[in-house]
Amino acid sequence: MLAYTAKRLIGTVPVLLLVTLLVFAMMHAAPGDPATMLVNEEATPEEIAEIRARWGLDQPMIVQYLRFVAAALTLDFGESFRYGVPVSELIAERFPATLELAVYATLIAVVIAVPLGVWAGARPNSWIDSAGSFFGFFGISMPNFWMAIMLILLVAGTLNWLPSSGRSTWGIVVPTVTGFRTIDAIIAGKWTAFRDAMAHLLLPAFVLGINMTGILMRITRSSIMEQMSEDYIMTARAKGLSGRLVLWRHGLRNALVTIITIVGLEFGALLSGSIIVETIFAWPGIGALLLQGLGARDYPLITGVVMVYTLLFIFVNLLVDILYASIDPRINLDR
Amino acid sequence: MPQSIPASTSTAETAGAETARQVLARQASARWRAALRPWLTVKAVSAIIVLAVFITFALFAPWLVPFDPNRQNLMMALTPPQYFDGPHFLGTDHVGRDILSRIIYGARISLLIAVAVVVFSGIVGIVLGLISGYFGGWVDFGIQKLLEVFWAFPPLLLAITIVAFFGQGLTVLIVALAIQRWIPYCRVARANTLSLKEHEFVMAARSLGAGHTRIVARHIAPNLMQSALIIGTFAMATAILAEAALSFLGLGVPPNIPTWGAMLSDARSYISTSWWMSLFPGLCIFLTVLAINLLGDALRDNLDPRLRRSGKA
Repeated sequence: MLAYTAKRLIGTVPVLLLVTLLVFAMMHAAPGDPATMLVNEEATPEEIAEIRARWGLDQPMIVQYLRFVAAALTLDFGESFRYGVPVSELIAERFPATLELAVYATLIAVVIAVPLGVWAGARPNSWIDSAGSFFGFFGISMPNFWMAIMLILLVAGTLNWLPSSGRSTWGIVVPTVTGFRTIDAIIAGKWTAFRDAMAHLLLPAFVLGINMTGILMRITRSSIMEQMSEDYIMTARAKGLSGRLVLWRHGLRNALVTIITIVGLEFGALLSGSIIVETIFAWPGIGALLLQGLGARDYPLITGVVMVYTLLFIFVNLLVDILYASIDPRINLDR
Repeated sequence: MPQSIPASTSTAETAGAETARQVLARQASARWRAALRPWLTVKAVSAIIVLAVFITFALFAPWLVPFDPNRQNLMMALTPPQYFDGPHFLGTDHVGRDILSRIIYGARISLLIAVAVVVFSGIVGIVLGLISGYFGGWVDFGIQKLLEVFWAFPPLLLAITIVAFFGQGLTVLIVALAIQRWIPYCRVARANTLSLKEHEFVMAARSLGAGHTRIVARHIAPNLMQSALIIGTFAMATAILAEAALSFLGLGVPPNIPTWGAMLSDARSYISTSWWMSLFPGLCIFLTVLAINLLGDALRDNLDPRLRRSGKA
């Protein structure tokens, strides 16, 4: 297991190098000079040259790339053009917010989609199957930014049930331990703070997870249908196990491999979605930070956030690969 | 006494004379009905109707719109939907532009970009997949590495980065949206090519002296079209969503072109006061994408039952 993990980790290195090369090439193929973006319009050529030297933009390409890779390996992406502080600091400060949102979005998607998918898959062509199928199409076809606006209008506006922006109400403070406000509130033992954090999370997490919910629901349904027609299910039934036990313990367990793969793959789409959802809900994560960086052509900031998102996506899929083993002993990791 | 022959007998006689043709006609219509039957589901029919409406919008926009989609009229700004009681059926936006007209023109850009992206990424993906699967070796290794790198990025993130770096424009947008969409085509094309090139008909063609280009173009590629069609349909749905998302972020086509995503972006500042600005464009995106997904599902059910279980092509 450990050897396999190490092997997979090493295997991601070439991909990471190529990813940095691609990002770097894109930055430099782009038209426009970042140095001129950093100064006001009346800047003299000397001032521009000074800026260029200061940010290393006057070095040859290869030097810039090597510096970039060396820096990226230590998660040091330089100083933000716009904020004048290290990008890693900006990201570290906001990363937990994005991660918390993404984790809850995934949880909500799984909690809604898997039971619905199992019920639908166990009773094909029943009313619950039709309802589930409709919900699946609804989920995969829903533009999350529109849903965000509609829910803000309805749930936060008209009904006034939930807050529509930010991570917490002003004045409610909990000491930061994990960076997840819901967990920090539990650690601090503050029930009000926990409820407040949850209330702020609910809408953005549901919206962010809606596409994954749709896809997972469809995948769960089809893989349960597939599993339930297998011989071992008949064997389990024949030896007298209850229908519920056969479905949830045998059918679902074997369908889980597919379900987890899709969770891993769709996690990437969910991360991209966080750029939009964070912006709409004023969620202080790295997605909203990226969008600010894009507006200012803040290259170190853009590169840093893009790299962090990509690393997280690669890491999650690595985790999925490793998780397989604990779910499905038939998968041989040493191959 | 010819006049006394009952009409029914006459019909029967004529029918007897034309039996062969009628049988053929009946068989033909039965074949048609059999071919059409799987498409006559609620799912497929409603999808086709919705798409037909939006395609009509896209094709005939200049003749359908009640107003110039870019004409501002600040006197009429933020007019709620008037339905049949006034000129602005779905109301106006913050600068008094007619929402219905902008929606009709928006269909044009949404569908145009989606089709361009799907065709472009389809060609790139299929060609790379064919080369990868047919030649194998280092070429295959290189293409698979390239695929792995593009696949490592969260979708849309790469598109956002490209548009941000290279500036807004139709070409940049199409390339940005196609940059990861060629991958599913490439995977399927490669896998199918690997198995197809071992088939007897390919060996037969080779022994008859056909070159690589001819074998790939005439014997292998045509066999990939069905799966490409299914992948393309689903890719079109995600392309429309992605285009709308980029437009929403202000990274889509230049602002003077009305798009559904850009309309939603404008609407953000007026969520609480003018719901109609956000409801209708979003509904159009949702309905179009839903219809394409339903159509893709029907296509997969009817063309390729093997793919049915995988849930998503």
